[in-house]
Parts: sequence; structure tokens; C-alpha cells
Amino acid sequence: MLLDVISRCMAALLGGYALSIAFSLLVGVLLPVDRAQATVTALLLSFVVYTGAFLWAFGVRSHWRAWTGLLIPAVISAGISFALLGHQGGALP
Amino acid sequence: MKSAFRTSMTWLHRWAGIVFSALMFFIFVTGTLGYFHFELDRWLKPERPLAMSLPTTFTPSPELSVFRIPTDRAPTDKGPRTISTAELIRLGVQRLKEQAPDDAIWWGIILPTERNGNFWVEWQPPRGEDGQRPEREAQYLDLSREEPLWVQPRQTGGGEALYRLHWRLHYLPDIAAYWIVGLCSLLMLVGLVTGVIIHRRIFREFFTLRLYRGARSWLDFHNLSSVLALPFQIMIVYSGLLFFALTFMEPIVSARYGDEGVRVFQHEAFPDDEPEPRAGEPAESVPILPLLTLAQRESGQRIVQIYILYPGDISARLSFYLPEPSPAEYQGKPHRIMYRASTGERLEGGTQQYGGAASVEKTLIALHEGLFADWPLRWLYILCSLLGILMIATGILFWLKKRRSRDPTAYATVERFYAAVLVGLPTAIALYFLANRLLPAHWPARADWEMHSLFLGWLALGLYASWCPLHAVWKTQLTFAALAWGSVPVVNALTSDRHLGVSLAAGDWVLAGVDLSALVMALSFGLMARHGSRRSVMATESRRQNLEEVSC
Repeated sequence: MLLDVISRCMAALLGGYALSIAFSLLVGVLLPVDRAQATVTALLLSFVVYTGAFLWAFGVRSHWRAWTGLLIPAVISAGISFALLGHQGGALP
Repeated sequence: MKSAFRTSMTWLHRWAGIVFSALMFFIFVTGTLGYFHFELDRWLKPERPLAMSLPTTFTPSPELSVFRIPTDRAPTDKGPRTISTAELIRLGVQRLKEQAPDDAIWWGIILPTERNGNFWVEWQPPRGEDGQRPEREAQYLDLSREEPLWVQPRQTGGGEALYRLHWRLHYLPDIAAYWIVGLCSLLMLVGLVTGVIIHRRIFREFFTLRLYRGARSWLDFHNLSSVLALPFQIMIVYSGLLFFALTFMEPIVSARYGDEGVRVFQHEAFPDDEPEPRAGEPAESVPILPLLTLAQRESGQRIVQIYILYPGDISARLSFYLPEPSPAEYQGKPHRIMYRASTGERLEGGTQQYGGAASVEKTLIALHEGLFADWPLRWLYILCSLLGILMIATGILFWLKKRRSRDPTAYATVERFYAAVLVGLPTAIALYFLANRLLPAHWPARADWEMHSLFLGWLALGLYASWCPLHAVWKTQLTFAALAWGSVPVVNALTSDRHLGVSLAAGDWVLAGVDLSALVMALSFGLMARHGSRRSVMATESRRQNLEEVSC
């Protein structure tokens, strides 16, 4: 029980952080606006996604699903974002 | 039957709420003070003169726009004394030429507004040899005597130091405070959203209020205070998070900007007019007043702030700031009208031409700060903030009472802790106001010790709460709060001539408002202390009756 709660907390904090950055970045990349507006949009969106991630992490039935449900979309979003950014010649970290 | 999802959301709401509850309370209370920080500043600097009455009609000519000078002496038969904007600015420029160092970075001339009431000049001294930027210096014009007198108020953190607490936490390094306050705000947003989810019958519960039913009453109060201002709470927490966007979500920026960095992003997203650098060639400034007339005619608004960047230089820039625009007008409306001071040539720019997303971001930030709010809206901000404070406090009390009813002793330490937080913090803030009056006016470290008084006082209240008998812990804390707030206007009357007798007589409602609010606080805490004690008396009496019945 305690391990389950700790795992969900970490999923919400870390998995949620990864998802909020990756997913918001992807939305910014896909929007047909310049990179300044895309970045501001992503920043505005990121906290909404983070809040949603908390609900997900504690709402799903098992803590494994909490992790996978956050990390898999995060990895996919980050992958597409970086592929598109690299294609456009955008900056990469 | 609750669904499994709503059960888990209830769990999340409870723990997201309670883990950071004390910090949330601290942030909400100190943040609320920020909506009155100009007003508190006037009270905290009693050397500043009483408020001038503003011109009743707008005219672009500074010679014709006239302020009425208040007097704290018996009215003379000469009738009310007045001064024109033009005369104020002439006095201000003269004072700046005399007092500000030649290499000052900027000069400011601030005209009276409803909120600040006074006329003053300020300047930014250049960086010292250690590379540190010194605090700006300000001098206020007192016209209540025969001769104009410039006063320099006592050293104080003022209202600004109080409201800065809500994101800087005072003793912590900035970055650490940002992460802690940011995480707290995020959990607060989670708490608000889960709160809406678990209260499915939100309107029915909104109209439910059961008094004197123990924990259940606190839950009803919690629902009532939350639902009344829910949109405000969501706005304030979400927009608060945006202040930390660049700290928290820095990877988003570096993914798009890489080595170019955050600065380039800020220039692209929020373009500002780059001033010409200081040329190093001295030049006289053209007279300000004709330009002020032009700017006021162009904007159709009363200019309230005048700033000169690099005064005395050939590239000096003169900026007339318009009153804070409402959020609806944020995009593309001139924010300031600028001239080259050495030639009087109108400079382009001064507008805030932001893109779509950037306008949304700036509007949310403006909503958070409420700088545009007039008096009715400002009081609405205060009312909503107070409801937010109540929401946090009643949530804590419900959590506590429910557990206490199961096991009265196990949560004693927690109860003492929350008594010291919920009632101790407001008392400690009163101590800040008292320290402002009682610390020696010319002591160099007084600004620091005002803040130390707040935190040391709070610590002392916490220690007292941990030591005093449990049944008396709330009553004593509430009594201390009533006494502390009640003594604010009294100590003010004993130590300054900006007390209620003076401010009410002069009709200076901003200044009187601070003392009157302190009295309202004292009265509220006093009533709570009395009400609480009466209820505990009732409880003992009914217990005694029960005992008598049993013994019979």
C-alpha cells in the first residue's frame, strides 16, 4: 500500500513533468505559428498537462499503469517533436 | 455510491491539500496583502504627507490641472490651497537636479494618484564599485507648511516586502523558493480540480450549511467558501504558476532555442524597445511641460509617471507612462509615449505589440497582479482572496476535526501546529506593523528587523501554542491576534501624526483605511475568541448536566 502510494507520487511528479514538457513541446511544434508563440503556448499548456498527469497517476487502477500511461506518451511526443525539429533545422539541446 | 475514480480523487484532494496546507495559507495571506501594497506603503512611511485631492476633470494642459493640498492644521481663512501639475513637475525637476548624482541611471517623477496620494521624485544611483545595484532613492514633497519641504521616509521594507513574501519566502535563496512555491501552487491547482470532481452535486452542496455539527459544519463552510470564488481561485493559482514557467519548464525553451538561450526567447516573444545607450555627451533637456501637454492630448489620459533614462546625456529618453491599461486593452495599446529629451523628437515604440499566445500570458499575469483594478474591483479581489484563505483554513479544520473526533488526543500536536499557523500568522503580520512604528526611525538595520520581528513573533506564538493547555490553544491565539491588531491603531496614534484623528479629519481614506482595517481584524479575532470560549463553556456545562443526570 505504502509502496503503491510512493510509486504513484513519483509517477505524478516525474512522469507528469516529463509528459507536460514533451506533450506541450509537441503541440507547439505542430502549431502553424512562429517559434516564440509556439514556445509561449507550450509553457501555458504545460501546467494544464501537469495537473492532468496528477489526476491520471492517482485515478488509474494500478501504479504500473500510472507510470506507463505517462511515460509512453511522453517518449512518443518527445520523439516526434525532436524528429520534426531536427527536420526543420530547429535547435536541439 | 461513489465510483472508484471519485474515491481516489477524494484521496488526492485530501493529501494534495493537507501536505502543503500551511504554506498555501501563508502564500494566500501574504499575497492578499499585495493588492494593497501601495496603500500599506503610505501607512508604513508616516513621514509621507497626507493625500492630495486629484483634479476632478481631465485637461491636457498641466498648468490647468490642479491638486488640492490637504492640511493637518486648522483651516485658514485663505481657503483650500492648490497646486498645479506644472508647478509640481517644476519643483520635482529642480529637486532631482540638486539631489540626484550626475551619473544616475534614471530619474522618476511620480504624480499623485488615488492609490499613492503623494507627489515624489526618485532616482536610480549607478552600480557601486562592487557591481551591486543600490536601492532606488525617493523623496516626497510635503506642501502642508508655508515652504515646500522634501522628506525622506524611514527605512522600511514597506508593503512590498510583505507581498514579496508570497513567492520569495524571505529567508530562502530565490531559486529554492520558486521551486517550493511552484510545487505548492501545482498541488493547489490539483486540489481545486479534484475538489470540483468530488463535489459532483456542487450546487446542492453549495446551498447546504449545517451549523454546530462539528466536522460536518467545517465541510459545509469549506464548500461554500470554495464555490463562491472558484473561478478566481483557479485563475490566481494557474496565473501564479506562469510566473515560474521559465524556472519549471525551462526544457521547453531550450528544446526550441538551444544555445541561443532564454534571453533570445524573451526578446522574440515579448519585444521591448531597446533604448539608445548612453552617449557620454552632455546635453540640456528640452522643457518637459510642452511635451507632457502633447502626450496627454495624444493619449486623452492623465499621465501619472514621468521617467528620464540617462538624464543629462544627449541620448536621454523621456517616457510618459499611461495609467495601467485594463487586460482587455493590453494588446497594442501605447503603454508609454516617448521623446528624445535633448531634441524633443517623438520616438517610435512604447506599445506592447505581442503575438496571440504572448498576449494571453501577459493578460493572465496582469489578472494575477490586478494592477489595473479600480476601488470596487480591488475590493472584489480582496473579497475573493479572503474566500480563498477561508477555503484553505476550513479545509484544514475539517480534516483536523474529523480525525480528532475519532481520537481526541492523537492529533494534539497537529492541532497546536495549525492554531499557530492559522491564527499565529495574522498576529505576526500585525507585529510587522507594530515593529515599523516601534523600532528607532533612524536605525540603519530597521528594515531587516521589521521582517525578523514578524518571523520571531510567529516562532514565539508557535512555542506558546506548543506549551499552553490544549483546550485553551485556540482561544489564547485568537486573543493574541485581537490584541495585536487592536494595538496597531493605538501605537500608531502614540508614535506618529498619521493616526485616525488626523487621517479621518483630512478625509484621507487610504491612510485611515489601514487603521480601520486593523480595527476590523481586531474585532473579528476578538469575536472568534469570545465565541469559541462560550462554546467550550456550553460544552462543559452540558457535560456537567450529563454527569448530574448520571449521578441522579
